[in-house]
Amino acid sequence: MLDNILRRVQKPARYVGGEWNACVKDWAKTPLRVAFCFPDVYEVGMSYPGLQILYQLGNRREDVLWERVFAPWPDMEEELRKAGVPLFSLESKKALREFDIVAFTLQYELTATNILNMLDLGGIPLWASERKDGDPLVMAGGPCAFNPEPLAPFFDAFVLGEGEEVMEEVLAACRETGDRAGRLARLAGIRGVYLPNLYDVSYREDGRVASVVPRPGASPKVTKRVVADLDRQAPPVRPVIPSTAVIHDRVTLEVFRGCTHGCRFCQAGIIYRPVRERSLPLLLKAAGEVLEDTGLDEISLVSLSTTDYSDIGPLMRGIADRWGPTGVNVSLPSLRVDAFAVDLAREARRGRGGSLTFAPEAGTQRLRDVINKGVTEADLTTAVTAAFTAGWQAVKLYFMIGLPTETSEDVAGIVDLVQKVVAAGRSAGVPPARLKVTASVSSFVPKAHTPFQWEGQDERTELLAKQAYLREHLRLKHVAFNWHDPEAGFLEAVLARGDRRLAPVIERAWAKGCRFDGWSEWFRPLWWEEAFRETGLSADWYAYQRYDYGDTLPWDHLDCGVDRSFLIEEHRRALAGEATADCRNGECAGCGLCPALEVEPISRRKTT
Amino acid sequence: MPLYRICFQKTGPASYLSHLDLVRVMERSARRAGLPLAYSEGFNPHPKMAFASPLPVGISGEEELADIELENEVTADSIMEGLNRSLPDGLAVRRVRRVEGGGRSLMAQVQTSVYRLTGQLDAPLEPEELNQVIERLLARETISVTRRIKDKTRIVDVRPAIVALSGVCNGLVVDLSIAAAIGVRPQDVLTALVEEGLPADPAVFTPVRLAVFGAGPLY
Repeated sequence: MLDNILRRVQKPARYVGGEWNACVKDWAKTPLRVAFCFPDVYEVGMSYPGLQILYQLGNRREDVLWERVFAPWPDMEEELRKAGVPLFSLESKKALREFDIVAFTLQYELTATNILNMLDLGGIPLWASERKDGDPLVMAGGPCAFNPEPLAPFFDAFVLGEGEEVMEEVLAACRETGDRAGRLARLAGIRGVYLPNLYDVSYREDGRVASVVPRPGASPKVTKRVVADLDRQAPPVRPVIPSTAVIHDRVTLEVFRGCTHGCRFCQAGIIYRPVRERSLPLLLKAAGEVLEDTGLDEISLVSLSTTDYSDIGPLMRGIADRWGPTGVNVSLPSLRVDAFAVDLAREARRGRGGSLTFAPEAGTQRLRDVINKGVTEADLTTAVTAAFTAGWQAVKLYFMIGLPTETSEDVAGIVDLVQKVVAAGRSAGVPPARLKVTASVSSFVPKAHTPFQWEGQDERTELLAKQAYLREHLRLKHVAFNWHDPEAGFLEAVLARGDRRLAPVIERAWAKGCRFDGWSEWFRPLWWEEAFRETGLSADWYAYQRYDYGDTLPWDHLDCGVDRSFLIEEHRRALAGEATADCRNGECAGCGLCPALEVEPISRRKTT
Repeated sequence: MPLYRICFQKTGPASYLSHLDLVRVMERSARRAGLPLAYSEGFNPHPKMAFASPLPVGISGEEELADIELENEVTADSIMEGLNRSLPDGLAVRRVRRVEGGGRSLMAQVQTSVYRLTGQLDAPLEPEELNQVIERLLARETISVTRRIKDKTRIVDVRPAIVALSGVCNGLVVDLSIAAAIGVRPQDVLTALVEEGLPADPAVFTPVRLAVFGAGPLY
């Protein structure tokens, strides 16, 4: 019957499993069963490195099975509903409701309706309060767990921070306790686990949060988990390799975690502090193991800013020397803006095309200082010139509009920078027919736990006007302009800054048919508008709200490790246009995280 | 450089891989197995592998064929053993042998596919009735089938391409064998049989390609 369904849908291989390194255990003989749910389609989920880390971790224990479930594409959803077949895992083909733990990863706010859809298709009650003994524990982790409030009523528990150590504790607790209530009680005692129903939220007249009060036994704040020494966590060297094309067809090697450049818009920079590098011998060994096991010919060295890795040169050379002759390429994600980084990228490239990506983010020095993106125009021109001279013909530049204090001059600055990059390309002798500069411009979304968490998003009309300006002025030779739908950015801001009152809105939107909201062909802003109207809440209020330092924010009870006073100070410095140095090699900026969490930055290079 | 013909099975989860997926999987599996694949020259080198005939997504194959060129000689056994420990689920190598290169490509040699279609009828048929349906179909001068390629629709006559057609049935279960030239889908023949009175829904049939042939056997 499943075969009949599969023959009617697009890309049926999304649902069948059987890939290299997929792990199918004996269902009947394995006591604890976890379904890892990635709330987007297979091709996106299989490109998520965290999946491989957790898959390896879960399946390592003989008494645990850890299987994958992805959001079914709308055509498959229709077939499943028509046939009365519940959503199932790729490995054992068991329905979601048969697992002990259903674990979602919250990578992006616009996956909310997919989450509800997967629960519904899986036969699990949407609201946590409706679940009984026999229903799986529904948990989630990932970056959006740092403000999971709009989803809180749908989840039994959230995990804050890095998954490795805490998930081992969660699995152990669930092995030791069998019933639902018992497991939840055990989870409440694990550091980093947040049980939303142990907290009561009240609101002020003006709509802001009045207080978040823990019930007896719950701590006032839940603090994130951080793995102190990454060398003690083996990188996944037997990743599941899709047999079909996915977003990234390469193996990833996580070189370090954390980034302390301190860009003020960046949530990842806060929630993954401090920097912890893996050692060179460990990485070289892991690279060899994973390339040998998988047979892939591209390895991506991932982190928040890979070219900062202390031993990046030796690492790349080490991989290239040993594996280059067999045709393996090393790729680096978005590069730091300087010539050194370009040099490295050139070493990696070994003759293939493609483009280099840089992220200046803002068009003027003034605004870059506000956001603490320590990149000058000279840095950028030097870097792109190095890239063009080395033989690249295409360069991609990431920018944001709607940043705090932005003026029309700053928007015009984007055009100016792009023109300078084009000029650099022409000077460097790139054949005019091939020279391509892509400006990719997204809308700033203020995120929880950043210095900009008190700021509101730029109004949609403003953003549209700025995009129109850019579209017109970037209609230039060699230039491609990519922009993101401000409606989608708006909804992202609402959910990123939201509280629990939004849960019914999400349910309504889902009930109306919203799915894959992050995909332009499925996004239905009108249905979302209806959902807000019917619930009596204002989306504008959530996105545009500017908070005062004294306000309680919906996520204040979730501790990212960094002092509030540090974020306030950074916000003040932003408004004054003052930069803050990277604490990796220089001065400690006093964010408070290291003493609070008893960790320290691990950087192999002690001098600059 | 030495050329090897591999005969492999593509079933289970692997029957949902497209042909392009299959090529990629073969390449990776060969790398895992440590086989010295020969690569083409040029800007975008690709492994020198040639497949007999692409299988549509959703149709399993029992004896699919591919020629792969290696940099140096290795034993046929080591190719089979190496690939079988490196392939994902649903793909398995049955036989490998060295072949002489330089002739026509494998794809150019393929003439006929043999399919088996098994399924449940909506109403039981006597073996005689089934034969009559088949005879009526084979007696037709033309069998028109609509093909949609991107936005264009073409009508194709598949009668000349049907080389042989037979079937057995037992109550509600029917088992058909079709030998057809490349380009005819088993589903087309099934739809035409339904037009001639076969009481069935084509969607519930499971097609399997049993083998491909040239002027003679290809393996």
